Amino acid sequence: MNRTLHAFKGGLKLASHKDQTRHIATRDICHPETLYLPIKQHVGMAAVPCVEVGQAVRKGELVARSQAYVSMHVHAPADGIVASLRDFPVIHPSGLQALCIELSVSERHDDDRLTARGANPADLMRLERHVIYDRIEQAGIVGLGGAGFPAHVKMHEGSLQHVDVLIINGVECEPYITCDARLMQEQAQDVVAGATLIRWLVEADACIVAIEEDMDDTRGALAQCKSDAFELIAVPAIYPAGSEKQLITVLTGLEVPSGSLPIDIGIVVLNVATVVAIYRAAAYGLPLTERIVTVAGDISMPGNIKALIGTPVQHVLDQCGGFDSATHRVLSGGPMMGIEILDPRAPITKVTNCLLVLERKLQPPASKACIRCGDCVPVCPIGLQPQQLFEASRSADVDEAQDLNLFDCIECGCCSYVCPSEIPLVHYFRYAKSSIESLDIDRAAADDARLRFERHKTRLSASESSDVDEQVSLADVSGLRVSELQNQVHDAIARARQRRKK
Amino acid sequence: MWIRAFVNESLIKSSPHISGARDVRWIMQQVLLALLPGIVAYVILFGPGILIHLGIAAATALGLENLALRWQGIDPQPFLRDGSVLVLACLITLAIPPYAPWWISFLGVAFAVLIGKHAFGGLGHNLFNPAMVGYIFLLLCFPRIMGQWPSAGLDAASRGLIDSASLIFTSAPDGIDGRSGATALDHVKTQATLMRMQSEMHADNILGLVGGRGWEWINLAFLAGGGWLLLRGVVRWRLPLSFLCGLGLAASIGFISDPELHRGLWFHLLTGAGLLAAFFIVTDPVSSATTPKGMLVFGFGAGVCTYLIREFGSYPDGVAFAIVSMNACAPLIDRLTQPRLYGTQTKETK
Ligand code: SF4
Ligand code: SF4
Repeated sequence: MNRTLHAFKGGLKLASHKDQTRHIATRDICHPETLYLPIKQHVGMAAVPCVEVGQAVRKGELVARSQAYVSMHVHAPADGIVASLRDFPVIHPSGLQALCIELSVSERHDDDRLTARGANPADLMRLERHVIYDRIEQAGIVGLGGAGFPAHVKMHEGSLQHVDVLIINGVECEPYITCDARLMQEQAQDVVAGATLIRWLVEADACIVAIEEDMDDTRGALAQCKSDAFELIAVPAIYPAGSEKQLITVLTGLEVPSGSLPIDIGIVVLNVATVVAIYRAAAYGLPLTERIVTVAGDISMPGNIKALIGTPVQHVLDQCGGFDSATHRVLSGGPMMGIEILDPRAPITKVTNCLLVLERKLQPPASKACIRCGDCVPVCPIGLQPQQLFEASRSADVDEAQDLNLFDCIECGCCSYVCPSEIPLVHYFRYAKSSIESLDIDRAAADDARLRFERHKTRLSASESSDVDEQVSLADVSGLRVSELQNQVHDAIARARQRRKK
Repeated sequence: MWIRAFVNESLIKSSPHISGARDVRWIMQQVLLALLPGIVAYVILFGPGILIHLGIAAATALGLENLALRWQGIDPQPFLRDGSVLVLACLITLAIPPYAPWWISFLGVAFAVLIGKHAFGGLGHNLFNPAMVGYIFLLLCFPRIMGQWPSAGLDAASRGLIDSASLIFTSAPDGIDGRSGATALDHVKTQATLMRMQSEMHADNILGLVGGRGWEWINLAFLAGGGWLLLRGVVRWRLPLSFLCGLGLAASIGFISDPELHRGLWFHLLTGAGLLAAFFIVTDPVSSATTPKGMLVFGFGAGVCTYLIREFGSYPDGVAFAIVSMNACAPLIDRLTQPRLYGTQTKETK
């Protein structure tokens, strides 16, 4: 515990509001009659449903299959019958609908079926690494901290390069949220097992479990396990210390270069709930079908609950005593980065870490004009100039916005939080980002079309000369490609190994 | 069920859903409060004329702001509520001789609001500090009236409200000479505004202990108000302190190089609009620099310019011109002092 911590720039000291839920044990809620499973609960391509309407599925059965490298499977959280495949309200910033698998839950619960064939980390570590990777991928695990990036992809990238530090992120810097804190406290053994396993898996030199400094119970629970697989480090509770980039800086003093990933500087960061899920997938073959959700704010029975993926938000809130929907609204996530849930039927997904009930304040209208007070500049943890970005985004000045490094913005909300004119800065930035991205997509599509046309032309002229020859050479080429790729991968692994030895 | 109507866009708030912002209205109220001691000192020294001008200026500012916003099709309520135009009106009034005719404050404020602020695109877009724009306009158009400062504590202070009102509303511009102590006029004008070759005037009792006579009290009152703002966190330290440093440093260098020709540190800090500028004018957020480093550069530059114009320029007031020139540089300063972006350091990764 004698690592020197570093400060990151900017950030805010926020009222934590965590005492409301952090001392209450996680509880189960009764399952809803119907689950709605969005086929896209992660970053990347949507999964493709592999069940038919009317089909009976068992708990843990695959219902939607990943079809790309960056994508993720979806499993049935309970036994039931597929009732429909249709668009359904989901948690989305602008209230869009998305394709969901509707599952009518049958009564039978058979929860302990899978836990029997558990294995401890030492046993697992005797297996080939790719077996474990495979289990993680098959379990449909994504980053549970909110980002939703497929876990196996992150770890696979980690396995190709040398990993100096594996950081297990238990820092919940957003106010109210305590699901990770409770998890670490109640399932400390699994956290330790997961950390041990993953450290071995990505061959990391060091492993750090980071928690917030005021979480004494959590620290106690983890310290009791007395594992030397990781360092337990408490970081100051400054928002957004739990954000990947900021946490890396706090713990190592390094910064992830703009436009790069943590792995480029030899760091892998995994959320603590993800780590536990990975361990269960590896040890028990358990797919990810439930998660802990913090229910907090103005609700009569706050606390952390274990919810099946796909449980409608309304059902969870009803189980927690309900709230007054006339005067309050519900957020998915914390108050700084969460999104408002516009339809109570929307289901809990793999990335829903908190349902927060907040009073809907009727504020007097603010002028919403930037008075250039500069308050937003020193709080930005990235070192952006939100006031200038705001002008650029508002006037749709795409080049200026990119010059001002719009895409480095992590949407933490610090700038909007302090803005005296109450300008929804983050909203503008998000909007600007998505419009620039769609511009880029259009451009890429145009390029792609041109490329295809040209290829088509060359193919035409080639086929005129000789059809047979072409077929042969194509096969050769593709064969070469595959082996070349394999070589590249091997080289990369070899390089990483060599660096390790140095 | 509480399905939120998607049509009602205005109800959907995007993140963050909590705010810890300082309320503009609260800020402006604090600023107005902090100006009070200075205004009281004015009244004690120069009589109640300033109160009448304050009334005219405030009414003009509110009225024209309202009109200008309506004309642009903007709901004026939130803007009028936040009180920033009142601060603007106050600042201009404080720069106007207390017994100038009524239309001086009217014109000054009108120019500041309409040209200084709205012609540049309204709140947040005005390149120049509107109060200073209004003041400079008056100075250039009516140099004589703007130079007519009564000597502090003479008959001016003993004048009643009614007397002051009749002076402000009735007398023609040419009758002005009669309204201030005629013998002191030249000196007062010089010391209050020009600050040149001051050592000759030492014998005259126009200068006070360290600053211009009377002005030092007014400035101390502004210092009190400004210090209070600083302590309460209404005003951030960067701009005022760097301004005072700039002005102080330049004055000290000037004084050391030739004490006969230039006045020293305390004189410059406590005379004219020195401290008023430091806490209430340089700190105008809209037209100053916004990056932390940029604020330091901006304040320091404004301080040095103020000194240079006071000592070597041909215009009487250094502050206004200094600030307006720095305003013009603010975008450039911002650009050159951008904070370092996360992940752009050139650090070896092991
Ligand atoms: S905090 Fe708001 S008003 Fe102040 S400079 Fe930033 S965007 Fe403008
Ligand atoms: S939301 Fe973006 S611009 Fe605003 S403080 Fe966070 S990183 Fe900076």
